[in-house]
Amino acid sequence: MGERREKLDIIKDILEAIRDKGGSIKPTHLLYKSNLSHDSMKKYVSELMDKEMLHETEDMKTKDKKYGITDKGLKFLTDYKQIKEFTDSFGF
Amino acid sequence: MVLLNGPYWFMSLDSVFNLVYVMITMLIGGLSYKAYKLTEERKYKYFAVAFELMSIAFFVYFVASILLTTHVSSTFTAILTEFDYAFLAYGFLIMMAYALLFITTLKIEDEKIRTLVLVLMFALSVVTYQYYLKFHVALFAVLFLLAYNFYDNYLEKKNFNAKLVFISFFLLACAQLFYLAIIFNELFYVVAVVMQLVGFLVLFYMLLRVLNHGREKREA
Repeated sequence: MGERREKLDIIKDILEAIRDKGGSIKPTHLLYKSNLSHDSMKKYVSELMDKEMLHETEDMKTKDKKYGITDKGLKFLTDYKQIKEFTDSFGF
Repeated sequence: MVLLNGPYWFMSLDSVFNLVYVMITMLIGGLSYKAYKLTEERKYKYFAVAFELMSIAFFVYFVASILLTTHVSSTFTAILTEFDYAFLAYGFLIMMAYALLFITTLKIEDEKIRTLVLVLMFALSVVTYQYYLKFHVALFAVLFLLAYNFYDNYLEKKNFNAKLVFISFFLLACAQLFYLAIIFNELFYVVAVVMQLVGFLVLFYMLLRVLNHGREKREA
């Protein structure tokens, strides 16, 4: 059985999934990629939008809702490794 | 008076080393605060506060020892020597800092146990006030437990930075034993301070590795 993911890792997984999809992703794809329950994903997405790491967009053709990654979100991904290494060093 | 110890020729150097500790602990606290701003998880906040408290404690020690060794003001000297206020502040801040380190690194979630740890550390700072030997015995116990915890973390993570954190806290714990050995020879105080300095420099090296790794990743 895998280890329980920390909040830091979950945020990274969400943002990475969006970045790897070219900067925006459909909610259903994000649900699958982030490996979270629907409620948890909604909670995280709302928090990340509050922190301006994500924004909601609309597909021009299909008018489907999508989540896009912001510059702040991209910066989080570059800072992630540093913070992960720091927390692992102290084990907290 | 508890604050000034060791050979007279070493006192100003000892004071300056405290500024090094201020800088290192402030940087570690800063990095943890950055993690808190990104995740808003309380553990990062506690960890940041722990290191910032240490930073303030070492700054208090630095200022008080400079005031005492340079005799800038006879009023300050009189106040500091009569009641050891600086040592009381230093002892209280350092014990609270280690209590928060305990709580975060041992992942104590229960509010009652958290409160108990804080109360016990507060009691330790009161009991050891104006007692040099008791203070270092208490610090040795606390630092030894923290070092043991970091050793467990190293065994689990098997990474070099975790090893550096363990080595650093082990050295800080051992330094307390040399602070105690001052009763045999005051040169042991110098050994203790040097050991403490090396302990903090190891922690600083770990921090540089973490920061450089982040930079390498950004440049890649």
